[in-house]
Amino acid sequence: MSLIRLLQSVDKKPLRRLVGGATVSSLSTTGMLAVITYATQKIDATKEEFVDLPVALFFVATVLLYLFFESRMIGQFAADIEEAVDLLRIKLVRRLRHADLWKLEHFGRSRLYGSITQSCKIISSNSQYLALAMRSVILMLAILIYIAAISLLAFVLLTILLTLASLFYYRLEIAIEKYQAKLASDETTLFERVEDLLDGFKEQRLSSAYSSTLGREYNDLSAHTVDARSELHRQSWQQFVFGVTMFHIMLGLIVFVIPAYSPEISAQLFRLSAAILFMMVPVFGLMQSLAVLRAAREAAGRMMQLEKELASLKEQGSGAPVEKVFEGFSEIRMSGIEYAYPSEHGEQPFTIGPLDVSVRRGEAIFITGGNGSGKSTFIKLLTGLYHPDRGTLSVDGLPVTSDLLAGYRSLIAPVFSDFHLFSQMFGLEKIDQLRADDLLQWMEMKKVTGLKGKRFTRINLSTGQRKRLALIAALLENKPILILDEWAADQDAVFRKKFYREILPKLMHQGLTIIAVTHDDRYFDAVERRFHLDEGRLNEVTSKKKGKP
Amino acid sequence: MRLFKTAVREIPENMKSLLWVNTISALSTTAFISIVPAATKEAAGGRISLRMLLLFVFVVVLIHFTQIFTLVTASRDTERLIHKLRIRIFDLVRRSDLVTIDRIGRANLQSVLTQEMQVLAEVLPMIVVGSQHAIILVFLAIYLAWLSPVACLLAFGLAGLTVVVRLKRTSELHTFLQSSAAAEGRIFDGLTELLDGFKEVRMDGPKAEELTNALAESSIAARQANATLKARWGWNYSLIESMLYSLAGLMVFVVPLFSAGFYEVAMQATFAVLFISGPVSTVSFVAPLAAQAEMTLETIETMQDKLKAAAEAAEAESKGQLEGNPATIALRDASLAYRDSEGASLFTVGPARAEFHAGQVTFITGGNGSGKSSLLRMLTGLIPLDAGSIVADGHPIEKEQMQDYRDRISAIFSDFHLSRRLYSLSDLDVSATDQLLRRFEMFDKVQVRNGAFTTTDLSSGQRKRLALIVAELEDKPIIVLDEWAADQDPHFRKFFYEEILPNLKARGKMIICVTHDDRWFHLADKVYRMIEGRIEELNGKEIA
Repeated sequence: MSLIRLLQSVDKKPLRRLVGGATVSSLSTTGMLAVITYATQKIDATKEEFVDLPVALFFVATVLLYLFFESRMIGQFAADIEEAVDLLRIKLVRRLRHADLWKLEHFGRSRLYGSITQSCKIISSNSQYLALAMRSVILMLAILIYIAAISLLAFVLLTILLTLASLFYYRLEIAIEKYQAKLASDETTLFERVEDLLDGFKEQRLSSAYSSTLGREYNDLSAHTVDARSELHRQSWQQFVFGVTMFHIMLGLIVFVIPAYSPEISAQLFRLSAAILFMMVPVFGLMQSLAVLRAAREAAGRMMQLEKELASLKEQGSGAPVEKVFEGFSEIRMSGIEYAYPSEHGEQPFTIGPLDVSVRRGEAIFITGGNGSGKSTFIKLLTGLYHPDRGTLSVDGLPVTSDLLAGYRSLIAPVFSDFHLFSQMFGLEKIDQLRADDLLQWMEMKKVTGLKGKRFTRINLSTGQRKRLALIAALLENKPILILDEWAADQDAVFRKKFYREILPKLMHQGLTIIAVTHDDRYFDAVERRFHLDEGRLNEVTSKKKGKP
Repeated sequence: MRLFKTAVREIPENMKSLLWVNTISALSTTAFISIVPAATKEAAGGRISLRMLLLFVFVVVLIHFTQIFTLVTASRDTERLIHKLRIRIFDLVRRSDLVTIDRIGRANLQSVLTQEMQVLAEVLPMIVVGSQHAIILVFLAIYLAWLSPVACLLAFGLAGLTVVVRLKRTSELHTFLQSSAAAEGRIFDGLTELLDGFKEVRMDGPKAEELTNALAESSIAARQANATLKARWGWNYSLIESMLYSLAGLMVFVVPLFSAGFYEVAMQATFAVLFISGPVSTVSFVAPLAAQAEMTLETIETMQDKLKAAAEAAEAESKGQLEGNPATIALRDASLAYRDSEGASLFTVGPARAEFHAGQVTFITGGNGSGKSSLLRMLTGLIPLDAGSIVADGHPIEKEQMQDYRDRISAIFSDFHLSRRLYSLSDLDVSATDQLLRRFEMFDKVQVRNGAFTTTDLSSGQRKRLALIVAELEDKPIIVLDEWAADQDPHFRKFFYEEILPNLKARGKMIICVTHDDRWFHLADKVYRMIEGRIEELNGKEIA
């Protein structure tokens, strides 16, 4: 079972510790039971009115013993589980970091989140119930042994009744869970309507029909949910009351049936009925933990499954030592690169290439092209994030093979069109605060944000402003090649002009190699060479007819 | 208290019968508690009376059915209560205006309509069973007091203490819960950062290394926070359980010291006390939940009050009607200012003058942040103007006519929402929808079945096509499109400008498009450009 495998991934001790703690806790509870019934019967039989001090002290000792071992068992087990979860989680993240972009994009994000955060949560937030389930089993056994010591007949009868009742209770549980799963999908529809209202608020304001239909459907669905949930409640209350009644029947069995068959233990009946009352807590506890136990087991299974799957996403060569062979490069060349997106059943796949282009060190080029012409794919191929079907990417004639990829990428600082602005500048050991300050000033961001250590003090900004910060972060990486994908698209007209007329020229002057995807035809003259992508084909545009001085 | 008041106000129907049946249930439980020790004594004396047995069976059956009745009925009533609250909020949102909704915030509304309602759905049944057990406890207390007042005093004193300890410990635990949730939140954020910035991470080894190390640190922090929380929880749990076990110890080791003649009832009292630990545990567990339910109800009621005024004001907008489909819509010196929280103007759109005609295509172009989307919101009557007016065929549209005006517009905004169900359409003709889906090259991916698209899990360009299909089906006189073609591939973009738009125009629609595609500006009857909130018409030369 995957939960145990998860637990034992650290070592074998946790399970042993759990069983040990649970046993001591159960024995002390059984001790309490014995002491209380003994004392009660003694008071009843001898009509004493004083307290037997040693017995009372023994009782206090069992309570303290219980308190100590029970709380320690829960705490220790939780710590063990947390350790196992933590190790697995870190392992998953490390695997994830080496994944191939394309494979990851197609893996499904919700599964990653689901497995890494949700599953961990399911396991760790229920760890105490897992420990208590184990304790309940042992306590039940201990109390049953106590009963057997008093009356074998009672033991046999109660065990049979308890087993039958548990089986029936469990069957009810399965039915309830099935019903619950069905209900969950109903509730999803209810939430979907809420989204249709909130996300589609403008739409519903523009259409009275939309609005009233939505209102009516929500009302109907909600009313339906009332019925469905009430049915669920009915089933689970019936189950609950069934459990209570079973205990009542067990008590009846003790006081009305047992004496008829074994009159010699008639004086011990109180001890038996008290034992049954003591058994209610572990039995109900165990029954309620079953669902939790199953959920935790499934979560553990999902996490271990994900670990295997993530291994298959690994990008070839990732994690290998970075070769610094390209540091003094003088030319990057794509030759004959072709790439096709896998397509669904019989559709024409989107293909790009053959792409032939070369960029010399210190040169700046523009890539232009309409929406969907393949510009972003081009960038992914150029950065080695996507692996071409044919053709080669090479630096000074040396092909960038998978083991050289990390070294090649370390030349490049990109700002993608769907860039991500990190909460802090990861990967930079030391930041030149003076330079960062200058850059903030230059990008006109001084007023809205600042830099504190490796963090921008504020990144909750407009897209245009965040792109400026992303550019600053890219420049601080001090890499020889800068790749920009529609960087200026979200800038206002004034800053866009500054970007093309002041920032780009200065960066070029500083010796950066710049490859920029752009739409701004007004500024095509800012660089020497421009390539145009049209339906996956790249052509150099030689004329400068549109350029304005 | 709010919970009680709300229940009395919203679901009074079964209150009385619930109270009665619950009382019977509690009485029979008390009877049960006295029968078992009595029968034990009888058995010890060697007699088993049939009368006692029958009484026992009767009581057990009575408990069984009265408990089921109260629990099931009360749960159904709480579900009805949730239903009432839920649809009330939903309808209030539906009837409010965009400004109010934007001000309250989508996240807040969503949380009230989903999370808060779920909290109620989870907590209320527990409160039902908690109150049932509380009533049982009242009768057991009376019974115990009758057996021995000292025993009752001591037992319920300790029981009360248990409830108090549980309440206090639970609220203490809250801080630990929060720090554990915060630690897990950091893992979530780190993971989001890793996935959102995966391309960047892939590009830069040191970045990847530091980010994963930071994530590993968060993971360890979460592990420690969780372990501390659980150790604490375990201590609380064991403490409460110990107190419950001590109840019985109290009976046999302490009560005899203070109560003469206790031996006569020792067995009954101990049995009763062993029995009450169950209900006491339940009540102590439920007490904090009741506090939670109170808070949730308060949140819901506050939201309700916030929405009420807006919904009532918005209602006025649907009183009147326009005289027919307008042939001309104009903005007359319309302006709108965005203000910060202190009321200082941040950005102003207008005063705008523009005219749109039925059977014509009008383009609006302009840079990012020039106010195009705001202009569309003003033009479609989603936001009230600060000054100026919207004019239909020369008559300013009155506030009362606003909803009717809006009902004549199909709009696909850049932040449009495509619902899977086609709420605005009834009696869909499958052959018509199929035909449109084919024309929009979507038929192999999506169909319309039972008034809903089979899927909307598509690229944004494809979802925009579906939204346009809905607009086609709605067949309204005015169509507003915000950068509709931006996500289309070149081939379909051409189809849009050269086939779809002319077709709509030929059918006499008033078409207003925000667009950047200057290649097709010549197809428009008129092109406006927006610069920093102002609008101007382009002349023929600029268009070519």
